[in-house]
Amino acid sequence: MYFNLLILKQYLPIFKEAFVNTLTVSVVSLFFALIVGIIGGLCKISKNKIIHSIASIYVNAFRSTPLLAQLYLVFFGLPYLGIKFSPFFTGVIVLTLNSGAYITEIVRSGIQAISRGQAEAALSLGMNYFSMMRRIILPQAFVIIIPPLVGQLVILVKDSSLLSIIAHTELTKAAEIVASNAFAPTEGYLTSAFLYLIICYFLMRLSKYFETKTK
Amino acid sequence: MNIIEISKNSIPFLIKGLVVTVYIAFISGIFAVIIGVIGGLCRNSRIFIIRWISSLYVTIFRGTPFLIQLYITYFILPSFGIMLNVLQAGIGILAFNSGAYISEIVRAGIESIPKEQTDAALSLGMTPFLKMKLIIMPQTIRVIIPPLVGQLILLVKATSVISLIGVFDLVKVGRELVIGTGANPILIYSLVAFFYFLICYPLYCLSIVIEKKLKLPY
Repeated sequence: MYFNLLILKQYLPIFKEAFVNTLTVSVVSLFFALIVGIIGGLCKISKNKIIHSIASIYVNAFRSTPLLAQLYLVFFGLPYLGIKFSPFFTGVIVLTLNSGAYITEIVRSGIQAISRGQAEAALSLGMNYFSMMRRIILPQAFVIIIPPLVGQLVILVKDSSLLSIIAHTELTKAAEIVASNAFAPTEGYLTSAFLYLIICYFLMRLSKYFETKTK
Repeated sequence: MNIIEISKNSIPFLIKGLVVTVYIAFISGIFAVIIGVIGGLCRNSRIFIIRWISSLYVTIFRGTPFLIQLYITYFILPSFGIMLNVLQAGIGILAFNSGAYISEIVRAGIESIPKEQTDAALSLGMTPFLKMKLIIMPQTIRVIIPPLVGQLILLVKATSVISLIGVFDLVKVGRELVIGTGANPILIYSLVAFFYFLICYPLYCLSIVIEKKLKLPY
């Protein structure tokens, strides 16, 4: 086995593009998943039984099925219904819904970690539910959920590797391109693995930093 | 064909896939727990080099996607002369991947035991091995079982990725049914997802029950 740096040099633009694509799809999905997660988390702590059970069903359905099955369902199912999306958009939809379920649980536990007294104080000051959530509870909960949220971003970066099967050019797809075009699987896959490692290591460090900072 | 007929025709195939999935998850789960416990003990070792190697192992396996690890094992190891069939590569890499996460769980579990327990055990004249076996491990197991079950659920879901190198598990069977028979993809993949749900949801419920049962009385 040997490692041909010339191949790496030749395919550097693809890896660059793929690196950016991986980060983009992960961050965009995290952003939407956070919105889904905050809504889901608020629904999960709702006293309304119907809203609560809808949120629970959503979380359990997405946490109990593999991402690959969800990806196949959306990628092959939607065209069957006559709806066509680009690979990027399909990826964002699937990753958002999948991560949203986990972030729902993160947000729920974050909100429940805020002591009951805060909510009571806010309500006794005459705030309504929304301003209480927006001004008192969520800002405090947000500080708690930042470390697990960065952890979720690490998972998203790694999960985005599955988007290679729907032909979205991210790091795994770039590796496949190098492996099949230049007959260089070693160069392709090891480079991609190294780039993933850089992203994930940096994010894991970041998560740890926030964890010690917010303690 | 209507929905009921398609389901009736495809469910026997899907059940065969389910058996493969459960088999892979079971075998690799056992290996993952063994690797994880060894890894976790190594991370707490007093010898620098062992600690360093196990920490490198955990960082590498947690820092790269499972799919890339699978491809590297299946496509690159043969050039080192290590030939693995799809099942060996899949089960092996799944065990090493989950083992890395379980190492972290075990390490955190051991570290959560108060230092005084170690001091007390050593002052009673126990050897380090005896201390681990009689004092630290029994308490650690109680702490780590809930996250361990959570990790095993992730492992069951990760088995689906192995279908990409050609193992005929649940997802692959679903994929072939859609390609081969032109069946409604929404129906087939929903059935596939439902079968995974049948495995994972009871495990989630189990982990909640265990967590409540094992909660320390103080």
